[in-house]
Amino acid sequence: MPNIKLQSSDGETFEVDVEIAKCSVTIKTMLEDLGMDDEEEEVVPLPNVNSAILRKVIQWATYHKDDPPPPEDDENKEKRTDDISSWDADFLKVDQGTLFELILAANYLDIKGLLDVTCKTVANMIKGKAPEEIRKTFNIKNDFTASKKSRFVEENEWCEEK
Amino acid sequence: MEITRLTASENNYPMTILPPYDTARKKEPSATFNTEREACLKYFEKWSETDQVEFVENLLARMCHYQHGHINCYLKPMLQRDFISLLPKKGLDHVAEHILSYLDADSLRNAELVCKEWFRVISEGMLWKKLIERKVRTDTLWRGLAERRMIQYLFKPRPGENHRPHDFYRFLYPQIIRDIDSIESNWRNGKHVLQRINCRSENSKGVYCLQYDDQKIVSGLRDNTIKVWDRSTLQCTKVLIGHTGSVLCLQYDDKVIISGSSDSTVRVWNVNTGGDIHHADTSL
Repeated sequence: MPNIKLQSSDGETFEVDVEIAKCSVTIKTMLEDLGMDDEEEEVVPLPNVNSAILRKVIQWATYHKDDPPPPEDDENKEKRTDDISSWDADFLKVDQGTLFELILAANYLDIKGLLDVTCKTVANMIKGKAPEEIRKTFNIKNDFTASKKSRFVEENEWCEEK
Repeated sequence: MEITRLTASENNYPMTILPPYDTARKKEPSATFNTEREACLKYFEKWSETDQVEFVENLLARMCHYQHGHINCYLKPMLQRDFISLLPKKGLDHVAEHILSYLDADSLRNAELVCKEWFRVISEGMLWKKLIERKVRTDTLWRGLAERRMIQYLFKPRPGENHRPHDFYRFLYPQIIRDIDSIESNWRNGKHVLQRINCRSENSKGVYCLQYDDQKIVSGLRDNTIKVWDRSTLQCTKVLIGHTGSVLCLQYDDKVIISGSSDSTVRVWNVNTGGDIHHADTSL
């Protein structure tokens, strides 16, 4: 089983099965462009991902290595957030800083499954909350002036009617 | 009361602003402490991340509960992230929109009220338009309403036309909800208008299938015919004769009617003239 070496921004190298690494479309494209040489072990530099995050990404990709390829955004399906597996939910029980870095890494490495599940996780942190609760969750300052806010709340009263 | 501004990490994430640990303290810290602190920090900065963490754990183990509470308040905001505002700063507006696209209407409206930047991302991402489009794709009631009222404002605009501004869709959504609610209430309260059309079949009476639009109703009958009725006058405008069995299913578009019958054939008719274009035997 051929391996590939992935190098994080802080210089740490991780040896990974090539098929697992290829869940990242970015890495897959890099390998195809460079040409695969089984003699030397290729080292793929990933300057946008540090070692702590890369370790976690590899852990996710290894667990999900046998997943069927994700469908192209099936626009005729409802977008759900209640279908996160319990393994993924545990995996993503991290502080928001780590979750943010995972989103950036999943986007840079183009790993659709990881990007979807991390974005769903953030969406779940927003869902069902009033604006002030959302601000507390993410430490956001309310920068609406009083007059703009009250006009805005009036326009949005249709939601209150339920 | 003095407020001590503590420095942010290199990432420029929100600074923690806390009242000082000891509010009774009126004097500046002693010169000895300042010198010793600087020396400690110089050592600290040289250590590896793992060693630094271990050192801080040692420090915490030597602190009291009240100190822990203060440190916890200091640390908490450092662990939080305003995802929706930070992602556009990195040129990743589409990822912020991806997160918000998972929200239902109520949550989206609450998200708009969080702060100006969230409102901007939602407006520029045309997220209300996308929410309506998703509903239209996945819910037949929404699809039906859209085709009657406003499908020209959704999906790709007609050539030469532009999309409406985002506000238009933000106000459109509750209007659609109100329409759906009044339809459902009309059904529940029996506030519907009933019109009957007698299909005038000589024998073998019965209607097996139909499809309609704003102009006409196309019905497949047990008397082997397809009859087309005008929506406004309720009169029969065409009778399509050809099947030798009941018409069990049909579908039409702007060019043809295609019908299936118990005579085991499928027939294709010109929807405008009613003429028979083609028929194919489906039996083996």
